[in-house]
Amino acid sequence: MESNEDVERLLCQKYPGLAAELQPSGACIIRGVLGSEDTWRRLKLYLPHHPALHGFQLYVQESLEYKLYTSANLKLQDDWLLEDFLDHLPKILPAQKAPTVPKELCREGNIYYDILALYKSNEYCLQVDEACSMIRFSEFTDFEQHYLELKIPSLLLLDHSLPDCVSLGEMLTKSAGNLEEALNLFRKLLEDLRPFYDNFMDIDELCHVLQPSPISSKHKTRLFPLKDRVYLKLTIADPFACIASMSLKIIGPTEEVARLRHVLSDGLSNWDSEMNIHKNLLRMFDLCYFPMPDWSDGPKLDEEDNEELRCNICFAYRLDGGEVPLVSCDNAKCVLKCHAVCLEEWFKTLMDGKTFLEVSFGQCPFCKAKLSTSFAALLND
Amino acid sequence: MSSKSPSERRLHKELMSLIKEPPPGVTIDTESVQQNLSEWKINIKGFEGTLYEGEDFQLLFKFNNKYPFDSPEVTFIGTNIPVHPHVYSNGHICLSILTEDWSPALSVQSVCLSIASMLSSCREKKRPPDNTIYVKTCNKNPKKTKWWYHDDSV
Repeated sequence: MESNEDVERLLCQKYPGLAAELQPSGACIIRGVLGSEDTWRRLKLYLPHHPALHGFQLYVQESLEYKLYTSANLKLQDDWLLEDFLDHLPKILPAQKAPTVPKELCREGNIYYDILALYKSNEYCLQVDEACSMIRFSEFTDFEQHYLELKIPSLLLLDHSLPDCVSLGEMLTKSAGNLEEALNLFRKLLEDLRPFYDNFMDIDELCHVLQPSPISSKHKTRLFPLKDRVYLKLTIADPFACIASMSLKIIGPTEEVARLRHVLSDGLSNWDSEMNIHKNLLRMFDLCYFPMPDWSDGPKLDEEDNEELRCNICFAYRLDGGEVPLVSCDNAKCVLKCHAVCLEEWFKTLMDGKTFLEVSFGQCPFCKAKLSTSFAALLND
Repeated sequence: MSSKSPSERRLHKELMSLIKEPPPGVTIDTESVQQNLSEWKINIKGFEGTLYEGEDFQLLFKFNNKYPFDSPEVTFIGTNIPVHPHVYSNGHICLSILTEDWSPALSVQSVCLSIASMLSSCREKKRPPDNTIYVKTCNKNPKKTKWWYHDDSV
C-alpha cells in the first residue's frame, strides 16, 4: 500500500516537476511537468482507485491543448505500479511534435533542462514550488543556513540569505544568463564571504551575544558583554573586507568607556592578522574568555519574568526587534536598566515641551546621574 | 485583542505584581480594573502611628496611551479625602512626581508609596491654605494645574 508520503518521496526523488494531491475519497491527482531525455510534458493524472492504476485518466498537454488518455487508448502492463507507469510514460505516449517557440521568447536553453541538470547535486538542496514558478536552493555544504530563491523562468531574485548590502539582484541580472550561472555566482559569493561568517561563528559560539536575536546570516553586527555593565558592539560594514571595514564600539558607563577606548585603540594597532577577530579581542582586553551568563544556580529563569533583567521603563525584556535592556547610568549603585529606544522616547517626550526647563537629556530617569553617550551606538542599527 | 501596545503591556505587568505582592497597606480594586485597564482604583490605609491611623482612602489612577512616558492622573476619590496640607478637598494632590518630576522609571507602586509617605510625615491635619479658591477654579484634571511646590517637609 503506498501512502501519500511514499508518492511524494517518489515524485521528489525522480520527478521534481510533479506534485501529488490526495483527495478525501482516496483518489490521487498528480500534476506538473514530466521530463525525460529531451521531451517535456505537462500532464495531469487522475487515479480514482489509488494506489491501483485502473480507471486512470491522463491528460497530456499537446500543442496547447490537453489530450485525454485512458486505458482505452493507452496500454499498461497489469503488474505496473505508479512508478513503473511514470517511468514508461515517455515511451508509450505518442511522440511529441516539437513545439515551435519564437526564438526571442526562449532564454538560451530550457529552464527545465537546467533544473534537471542541477537537481542531482548533494552539495545543496533544490526545491521547486508546485506551480513551477519559484526555485529554492538551500542547505549548502559548509553554509547550511544559506538559501537562494529565484523566480523561474525569469531568474528574478526573490529572497536570499546574504547581508542586504550585497547587491545580489544587480549582480545576477548583470552576469547570470542561466540558472546554473546564477547558482554558481551565489556559491562563489558564499566562498568570498567565508572569512566574514567564520569570524562571526567563533563570536556566536564563545560570547554571550545579546543582539541581534535571533542571529541570522544577514546580520552584520554582534553585541555582547565585555564585563559587568560594559558591552562591545562589533560591526562589519563590508562583509567582503572584514577587518578593513570592522568597527568596534564600547558601550557602558562614561569612565569605563573612556578607559577601555584607550585599550581598544592600542589593541587595534597591534592587530594580529593571523588570528580571527574573537582571538584578537581576547588578547586586546587581556581576557581568557568573554563573560557568559551564569546558569550554575539551576535552570535559567525565563528572561521575561526576571525582574532584575527587565527594562525599567517598559518592564519588558526583549522587544520585538530583539533589543534587550543594556543601558545603565554612571551611578554604580543605581539598579536602572533600560532599552536604549525607551530612553530615547523618554528624552523625546521631555523635548516635546512640558518640562521645558531642565531638559534631562542624558540623565538617568531613576537617580538623575549622568548617562553615557556611548549608548547612542545602540540606536543606529 | 491580539497584540498589546507597550503601554498596555507595562500596565498589565504592574497589575500582576500589585495583585501578587502588594506593598503594605495597599490593595487594588481588581473589579474596577477588569472593566477598564486604563482606570485603576487603589485602596490605601493610613499607617499605624500616624495622624491617619485607622482611616481608609481610595485613589483613582487614570493612564493614557503614552504611559509610562506621560504620568498617570492620580486623585483621591470617595467619601474620605485625607485632610492634609497637600491634598485639596476635591481630591487633587500637590505632589511633584505626578507632574514635572515624573519619570518613566516610577510606577503605580512607587506613586502609592510616595503618597503613603506624604501622609505619614504630616504633623497637622489641615487643608492647603488656598483650598477654597483652588477647588472653585481648578481644571478637572490635576495635571493641568501649574503647581507651586513650596514645601518639601510634608
